[in-house]
Amino acid sequence: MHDCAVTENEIVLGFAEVSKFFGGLVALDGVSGEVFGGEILGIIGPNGAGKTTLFNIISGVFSPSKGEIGLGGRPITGLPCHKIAHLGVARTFQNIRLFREMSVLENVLVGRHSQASASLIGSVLRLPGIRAEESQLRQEALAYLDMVGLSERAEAKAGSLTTGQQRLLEIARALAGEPQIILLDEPAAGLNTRETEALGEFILRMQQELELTIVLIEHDMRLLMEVAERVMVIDRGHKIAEGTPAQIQADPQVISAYLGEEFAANGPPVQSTEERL
Amino acid sequence: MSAARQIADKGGARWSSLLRATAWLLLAAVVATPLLLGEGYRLPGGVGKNYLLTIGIFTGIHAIIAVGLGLLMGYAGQVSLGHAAFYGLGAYSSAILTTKLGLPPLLAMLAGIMLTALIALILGAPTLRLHGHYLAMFTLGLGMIVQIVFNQARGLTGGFGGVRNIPHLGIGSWQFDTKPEFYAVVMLTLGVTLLMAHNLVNSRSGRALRALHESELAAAICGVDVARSKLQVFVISAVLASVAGSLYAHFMRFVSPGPFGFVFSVDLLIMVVVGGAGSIWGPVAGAALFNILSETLGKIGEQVPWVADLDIVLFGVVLVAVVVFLPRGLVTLAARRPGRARGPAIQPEAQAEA
Amino acid sequence: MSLTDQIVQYLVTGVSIGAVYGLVGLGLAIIFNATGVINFAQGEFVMLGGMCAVAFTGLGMPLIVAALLSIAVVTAVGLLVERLAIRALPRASIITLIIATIGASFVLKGGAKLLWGPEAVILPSFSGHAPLHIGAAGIDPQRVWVMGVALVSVIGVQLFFKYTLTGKAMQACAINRSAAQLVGININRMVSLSFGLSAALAAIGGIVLTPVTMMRYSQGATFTLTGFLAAVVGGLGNGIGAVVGGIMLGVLEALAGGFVDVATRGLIHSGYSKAIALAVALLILWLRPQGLLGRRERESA
Repeated sequence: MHDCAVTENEIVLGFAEVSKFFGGLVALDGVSGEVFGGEILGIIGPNGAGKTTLFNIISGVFSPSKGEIGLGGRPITGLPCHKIAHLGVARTFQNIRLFREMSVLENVLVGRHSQASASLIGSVLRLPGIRAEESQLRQEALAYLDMVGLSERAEAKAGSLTTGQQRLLEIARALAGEPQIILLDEPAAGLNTRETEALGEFILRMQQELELTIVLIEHDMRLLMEVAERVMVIDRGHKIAEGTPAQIQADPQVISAYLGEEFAANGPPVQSTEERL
Repeated sequence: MSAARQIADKGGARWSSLLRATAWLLLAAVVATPLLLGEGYRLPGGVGKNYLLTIGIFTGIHAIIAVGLGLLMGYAGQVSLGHAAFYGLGAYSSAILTTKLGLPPLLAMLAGIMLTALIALILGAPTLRLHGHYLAMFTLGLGMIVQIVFNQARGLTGGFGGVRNIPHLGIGSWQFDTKPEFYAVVMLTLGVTLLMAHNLVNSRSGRALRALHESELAAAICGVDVARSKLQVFVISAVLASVAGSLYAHFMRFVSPGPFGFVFSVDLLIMVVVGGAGSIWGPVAGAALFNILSETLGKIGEQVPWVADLDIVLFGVVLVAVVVFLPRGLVTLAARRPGRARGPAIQPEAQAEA
Repeated sequence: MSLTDQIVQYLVTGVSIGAVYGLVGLGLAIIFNATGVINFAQGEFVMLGGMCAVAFTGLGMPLIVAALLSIAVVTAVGLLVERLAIRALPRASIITLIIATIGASFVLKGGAKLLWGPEAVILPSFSGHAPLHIGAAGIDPQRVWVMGVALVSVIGVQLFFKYTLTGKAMQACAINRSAAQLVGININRMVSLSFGLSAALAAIGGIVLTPVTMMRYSQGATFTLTGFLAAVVGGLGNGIGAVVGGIMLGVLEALAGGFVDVATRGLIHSGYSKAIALAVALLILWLRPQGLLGRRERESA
């Protein structure tokens, strides 16, 4: 399935001088960076710093006001969402966007939209081959549900799942498109400690078993610092730091800009990071 | 699927298959009634076989359009205010091509389909890429323009007087020239329409449509080409209207601009909303109810004149009442679990999309 | 009559009917900005305005009293439509609300038919029939009334939005509902007001236009449709745009009616004038979806 194994140090996703203005508001201001094949890159920053805007631009929800995005060496700037999805970028949403009225299985099936080929006319006329493709799709979709431990709930309505299950389903739906890179937008939001731990393990499994490249926006510092190999810090539309988790936690600029108020109140950074748990 | 679930499903499945079989039998009985009724038999109100067949034919023709419009409204979340124009394009294509060029009816119908599909493509391609209700505006404009052309292009359409002497529908030497035969043709066409709609909804494309109906953004992220999917349903719904128009022309054997105006576009909207958009059977139920109600009012109006004037008010009241109390239409009443149908009606999450 | 005189005559015809389209469009834009809903009963308010005025003058009231009373009645009807079709559906989608207004338009149209019958009615001209002359062109004085009253109404609405607290509150609502609510503006009241104001504007248009074109119970839909296109072509977010769009449509229609026959050597005759105006409107929309005067919508996150 995932034969596009990428060796490390190869850049799979790059963005150069990306800016986004909404009217007079500057959401992102000249942010550059790259994501290496097979790595887990963490992105942190205060609320409203522009993290989700960056995801929106990479996944094609918005086109950038300035700057370029490249995927595997080819420019994807300004391409519509569905084309970028076809090229192998999947994502989840901070405020979960499942198809709530559809079943859990159907959600994953929609995620596999690009992997199927049934045409509209073919479907309407039930041409031979459609049924076979459909049942194969179902098998494959079930396998993805198995992966996140939701195959028991395959026929339930997506809207009836708990928040934790919904986050997992959204990831399964994203994985079903067989992406080479997945953007996770605060996947731990709304999860309890145990669920968060399981999520952390799952993220590492995705990296190792599916050989996926993962970009992770997360406010849960323990999760992020545990799984991410590199961390990028965005504040008020600017990238202010980049480095290993250890470097970031020691970076004075990050401490003052991002962790500032809390550390001012709570003492040195490392201890305070622990306290946030 | 887990073992426990399978067992639970089996018990429920037996019941629901029994219910389903009963429903199918009832439906078959209702559809067959006008055919099996004796010539001299009179239902209450003096309704005879011929009258019943006529109502059935109109219900069927309207239902074919309503099913397509229901797909458009319920799945693509778009309103068309010009479906009467597509209906008219089909009717006039059949009328003109069979009378003036002597084309066989099926070929004329096909030409109508192509013309309608082309116009729907030209209209839909730019508008369905935009957010908001641009399609409603463009179809509205199209409806008005087409109506004017029907009235004014006298050389082609006969203007106000319309086109007369349209031949019977037929394949080769097989002519559907009696009412029962034509009724059977309409019901068969409706059946095929429903089957194809069912196939569509339960396919990859249909899943994509249901998905984009819930969240366009999430569907696009999954690789669904949202604009293209909407355009496909729009063209399908326009083509169905055109087919229904051709049937109408061959049934009446006369077309004039009157039935293809804005009023009929709104009538169609009522059928779909009252029956329930976003289901396949809802619009059929809506079309049946609409025709029965307007015929009944017409009948009463023959005796009590002011009742005939009441129909517009009544339809308005029914429309408002349905959107207020049954936001998902009459099909809600037939839904298995009563609590299930709660919630947003035609387009959930429309506002949350931004 | 010289060509210039003809043009003047057609322009007056076009501007006067376009002014009424503009009033309808302005009303539609006001409601749209307050609720996001396109009110399909808007044209019925025009029809009701004309019908009421005829009925009240028929009872022997002086014209000015009949007109004011008609405006009051139609305003009340507008408020009622808002209460029964919009406020009853607090969480409905926009499409559902639009369909509810279509239902309301049916009730109003059917009600008018029941009350006043299917025949067209007419109101006497406000100041006689002696045509005013501009050069050789003769102009129906009632058309001057239409243009004058429409102009005063539009200016009135602009002043209301600019200089009164309520008007400013309505504008705030249109720009950002939740922010408006936060500063203590009563949203429901603003939505009611938008319906009342729009109904009054439409009624004014109906009253001044009835002496020119007569009025029939079934005429509302045409006003809705044309007013709607006028508003969209001008830019829905912009009240003045609706008026400009309406006048443009009216003038296009009148000029096409007057000249298309000659210009195309009879190939396209004057019966197509309205179709031509509509096609131009759609073409403009196709090229500029935000309308002539509208600004591009801001993307939101």
